[in-house]
Amino acid sequence: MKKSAIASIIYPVITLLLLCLIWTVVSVATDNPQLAPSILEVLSSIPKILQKGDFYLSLGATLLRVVVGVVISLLISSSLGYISILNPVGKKIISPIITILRALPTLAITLVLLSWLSPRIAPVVVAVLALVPLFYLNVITPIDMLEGGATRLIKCYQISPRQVGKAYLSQIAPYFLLNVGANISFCIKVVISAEVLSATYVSIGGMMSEQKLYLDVASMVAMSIFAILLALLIEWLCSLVYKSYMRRRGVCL
Amino acid sequence: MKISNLSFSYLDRVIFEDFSLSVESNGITCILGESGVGKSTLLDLIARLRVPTSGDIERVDCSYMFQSPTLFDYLTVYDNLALLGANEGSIDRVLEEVGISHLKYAYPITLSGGEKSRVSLCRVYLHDKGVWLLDEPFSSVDLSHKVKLLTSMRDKRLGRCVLYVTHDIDEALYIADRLIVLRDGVISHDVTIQTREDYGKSTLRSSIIDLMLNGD
Repeated sequence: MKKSAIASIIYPVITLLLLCLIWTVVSVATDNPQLAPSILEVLSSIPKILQKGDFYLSLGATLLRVVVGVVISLLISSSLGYISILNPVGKKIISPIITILRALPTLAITLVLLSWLSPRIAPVVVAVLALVPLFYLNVITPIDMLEGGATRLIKCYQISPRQVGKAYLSQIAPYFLLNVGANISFCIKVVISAEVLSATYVSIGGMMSEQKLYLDVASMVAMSIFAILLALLIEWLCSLVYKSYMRRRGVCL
Repeated sequence: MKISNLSFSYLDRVIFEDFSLSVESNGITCILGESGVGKSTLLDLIARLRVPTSGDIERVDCSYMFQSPTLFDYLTVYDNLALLGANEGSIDRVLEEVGISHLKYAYPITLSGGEKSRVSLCRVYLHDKGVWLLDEPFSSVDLSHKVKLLTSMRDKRLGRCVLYVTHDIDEALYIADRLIVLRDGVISHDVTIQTREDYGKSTLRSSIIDLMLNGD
């Protein structure tokens, strides 16, 4: 096995062991499973969660919210990005909106949205509000990075909108693939947080909210671990897609 | 191609004031001048990528080779050129002409600066409309390819109006039918090269260098 491959396994294992050590120290120091359950207590709660039928339903519902949030954000940010590239005035109008969205406090906006929307919809809207600025930057940055500026080229050579779309997609695809994993895992975090706050029925966040009521901290931690593993899995899959995409273009990573 | 009484300022800095220029539609006009004198700005104004403060610029089609190649890194060289709406036959022909047929399916991200410049030149050859605006087209091309490309361009100049910006006096003397030296936003010198033998004449070369250094 290559040295780099060994390093890529050893260092995360060391980090994991360090985290477990800190966790154990905190758990022993507090000596209160309702504050800081031990690793064993959390691990033993995992089979119980997995045996519950509504866990899978909740997981599916949360994932569906994540997917819907990602798709809607993509559509909005791509449209805004396309306008920004074709029209500098449009870009000037859109940029402050993106800045505002980026600064928007997610939890506060969830509370506001709950007075307008149902707890099933609010997490999706929160995810969209959080993701649009990220995806917009993923769209606009690679085009801004083009030497000389794409708008000059498009204007000077009167390139048709269809061809502009093709070029634009080719440029944003690698940048997008590089970041999409991290963005989706961020979306999972935002959706679950919003679900917890909204106490959304049939959702991972909703289940956590319920476990909080029963002071079942071990199950809450186990659910958080599920969310982390899910995010890591998605990030890993996206990184594989990115590497394969770049390899086909002659770039070895 | 005619520019009359052009004025242009950028961020309170006057680049051109009451600037006029007329270029024949048959030959290569080289524009020389130190950095920041407004050579690239002049090309941008002709291509209507910048709006003049006042004055008239004859509206013409442009085939513009920008100072930076402006290629889409994740489209193949062929797809980059196909953006102009050209068919495969024409694209193959210009790639052959510029000597990069072997790069047809390469991605610009894997190309050198010189190769990117040659792809960018293909775009001008393919579009081939109105005035050719070439902004330091071969600054990153190696000498052997540069000589070939300059020779090919010299052959192509008949019947075409080419504005060629460069810093390289030898390159300008080799290719130009007319040499313009810009200084402080005005044409400080305008030389028509009558015969190709003028190239290499040390008197012309040294007088241009004198002009650029001293302005007299």
